[in-house]
Amino acid sequence: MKKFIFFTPLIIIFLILSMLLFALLSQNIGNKKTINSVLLNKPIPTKTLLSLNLNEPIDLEMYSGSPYLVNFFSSWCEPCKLEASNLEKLSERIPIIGISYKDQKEDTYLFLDKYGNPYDEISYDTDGNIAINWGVYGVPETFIINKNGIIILRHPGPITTNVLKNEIIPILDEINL
Amino acid sequence: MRNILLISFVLLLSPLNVFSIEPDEILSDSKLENRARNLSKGIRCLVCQNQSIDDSDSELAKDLRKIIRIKIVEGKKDKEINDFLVEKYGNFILMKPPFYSETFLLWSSPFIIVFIGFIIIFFSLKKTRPEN
Repeated sequence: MKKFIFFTPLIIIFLILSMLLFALLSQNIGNKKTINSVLLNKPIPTKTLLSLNLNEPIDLEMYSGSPYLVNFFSSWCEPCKLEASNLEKLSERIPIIGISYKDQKEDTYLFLDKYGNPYDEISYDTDGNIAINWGVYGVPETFIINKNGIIILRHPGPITTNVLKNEIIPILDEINL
Repeated sequence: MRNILLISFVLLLSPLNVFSIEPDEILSDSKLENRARNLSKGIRCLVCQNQSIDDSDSELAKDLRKIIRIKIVEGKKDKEINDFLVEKYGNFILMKPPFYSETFLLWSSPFIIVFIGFIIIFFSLKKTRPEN
């Protein structure tokens, strides 16, 4: 009986704490904002990129004045193949800058030939340093930049039809694109 | 025979973390390399989450280890390197997150739990003590 009296409050406290922890964790999983980049609502971290074909500078400042998309992709990345058709659809509405991540030039071109080229400009990131500068976890990852050069959305993972419909299109509608 | 089995078992376990860092990553200056290793131990592998980049084999961890070493060679201080990584990935990248409003519960929960424990013990003892 004594043991029961001693342990009951402990068990109750344990259950309460477990529920609290579960609530906190499920909130983190459900709320996509928690994995949003710290660069959100901040200016783009890279102003100049190098073009894949000519190795000439791509000045991202030139794109300011109207919104655009930055997409990190790679030919060896399976989810990148998944999002290719949706990027193609998006390219009709907004300019897309592609950054080929840790890839061989030839493989990138083969990938674009096979899955379509939705990009207005293509740059490359051989050592992953540009990706780190953008706080990228892996490919594919997409950023929407507003007309002032501010990152307004980061989407890790492929742009599936659901993501396109529920995340990207509403933002483009919001910024009148 | 038993000793051989024991040694084999220990050897099987030991290399797990050793080979995360590849030979081409290691700095020739052992002092700088030690700094890089210590810094890497405090940086979370964001794609594995429960490992530091020092222990992880992931591509991102490898890139982060490289960038830490580049910055060390450039003469950057540890704090500057940590600040750079936090600026890009947030406080989550630190294995030991700093104490601020959002991490209050994380840091204080052990003390809160111990405090609650003391209260429970106090009242339980009070209840069970014979009345005289």
